Amino acid sequence: MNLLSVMVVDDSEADQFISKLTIEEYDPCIEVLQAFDGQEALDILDTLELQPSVIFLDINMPRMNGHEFLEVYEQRSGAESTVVIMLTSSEQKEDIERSSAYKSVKNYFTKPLDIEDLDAVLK
Amino acid sequence: MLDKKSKLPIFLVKIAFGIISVMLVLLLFFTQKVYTKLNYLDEEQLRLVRLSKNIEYYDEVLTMSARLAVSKQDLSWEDRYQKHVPLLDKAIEETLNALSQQQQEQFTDKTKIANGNLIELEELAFSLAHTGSWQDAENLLFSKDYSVYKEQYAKGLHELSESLQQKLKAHQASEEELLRYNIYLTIVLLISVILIAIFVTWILNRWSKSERLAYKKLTETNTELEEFAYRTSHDLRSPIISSIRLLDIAETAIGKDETKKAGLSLSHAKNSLQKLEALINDILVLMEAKNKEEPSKTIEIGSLVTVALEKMAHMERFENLNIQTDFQHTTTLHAKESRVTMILENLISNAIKYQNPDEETPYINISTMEFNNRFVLEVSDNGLGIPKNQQDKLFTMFKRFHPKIAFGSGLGLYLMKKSADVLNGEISFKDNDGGSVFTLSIPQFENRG
Repeated sequence: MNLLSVMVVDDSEADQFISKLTIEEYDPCIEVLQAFDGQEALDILDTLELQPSVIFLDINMPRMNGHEFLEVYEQRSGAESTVVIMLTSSEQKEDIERSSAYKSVKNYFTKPLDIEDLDAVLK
Repeated sequence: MLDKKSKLPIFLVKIAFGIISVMLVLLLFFTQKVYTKLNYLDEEQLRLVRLSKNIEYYDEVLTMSARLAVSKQDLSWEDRYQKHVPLLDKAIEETLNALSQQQQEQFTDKTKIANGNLIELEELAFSLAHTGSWQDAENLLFSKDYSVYKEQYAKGLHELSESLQQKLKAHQASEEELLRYNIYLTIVLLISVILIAIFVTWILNRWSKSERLAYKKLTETNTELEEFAYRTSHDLRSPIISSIRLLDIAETAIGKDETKKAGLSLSHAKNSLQKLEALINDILVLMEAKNKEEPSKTIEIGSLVTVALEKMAHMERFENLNIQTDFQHTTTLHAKESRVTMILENLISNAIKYQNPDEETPYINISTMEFNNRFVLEVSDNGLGIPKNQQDKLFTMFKRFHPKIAFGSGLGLYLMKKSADVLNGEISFKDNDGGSVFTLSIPQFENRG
């Protein structure tokens, strides 16, 4: 996969730091975009001409959570060109099932992001 | 499971139905008794009227038979006479049985002589007829004496009939009175049944309302508990997992002499663990607030505000805030102090944490007033406020609105709502041109306990 940028949507600064570090370690050429909740992610996506190839999406976030983000995101044109990977601390069956119902969601990882996970997605 | 209080309506309904059942059985019993008696009296009246008529008829038959026998000189009429004598005796006996002893005696006294004389004259007339003295016999039966005795006997019969009628009327009157009472009783019972039915309906409505409310509360608590378990498990686990990973990164970075990377990782790990500690503290406060039993006491709100502000003076950007107070309440507040303190401290702390960086003069205004015997505390600011689309979720658990500005567990406003409930009051939010106005309204004197 020829990646230009990926987006990490997570309200935790620590997890943002870990994800960014892991992605940069995997491929320093990948641009990492950061959003701290679903609404901020949508706002950033609106400003981009070129959409990120992958969005790592947390579920529990203030203002707009991961599920709410997906509801809005999948209505957007061009959404199908981006892969969404859930990246969350939740191992709840309901969260996994609900996430898998979205067309754009291709995988479900539990935090923190590691190189093996990244490899499985970005290879 | 039903507690004693919720079993009470079932007990009351059972009692009510028991009373209704007893009343209906009594009503049925009395009604049946009165109608049976009235039917019996009607039949008895008919029977006695028939007997009375029979006596008159048999007496007439005897007189006519005797007179025809002597006037026609035909003794075959004597057979008819003799045949009707026992019938008359039987009718008189049956009639007398229906009378009281006194009435019987009166009847006997008045008619005995007349009857005896009539029989004596009739028997004498038949004796004369048997000897061929038809004329003497006829004279005897058409004599003035015979007519006088006949009249006396007829008068006696008439009085007997009158007595019977009077006796029956008296009986009927008493039974009719009983029937009247029965009708009154029926009306009273029907009204009672209607009242009991209304009472039972009211009890059941109230009961089902309280059951519905209890069920709603239970469902809400259950949902809250599930949400709480889900979010705490997530929010407690997440910083620990992140910290372990961050410490790994720091360890590796130190090994590679990447001091900056190690420092950043440790700093993030520290922040995560501090947030975890704050979250655990908030959960402990929440648990304590839910379980704490506390008596009400007299509260000096000015002192509470002063203490709260002193406590928060160390907070970042506290000194930027222009603090205004305006206490207009005149009556002393009597309430659970820790709850009022908790609400006050949370509101002040939020106003400090969530100041709007674009405001030149950030302020917090703490004011009090009295309205309809309620104490009203209002805390307003020109801070970041609450996004409009999230204002409906304001007082629910784990709701954070400005995570980038400052850390919050998302339990503060939920805790305030729970404390306002314990104070029998309400807390509400109003948008203040982008900032916030929180209003706590609690009864001035109703929090004794």
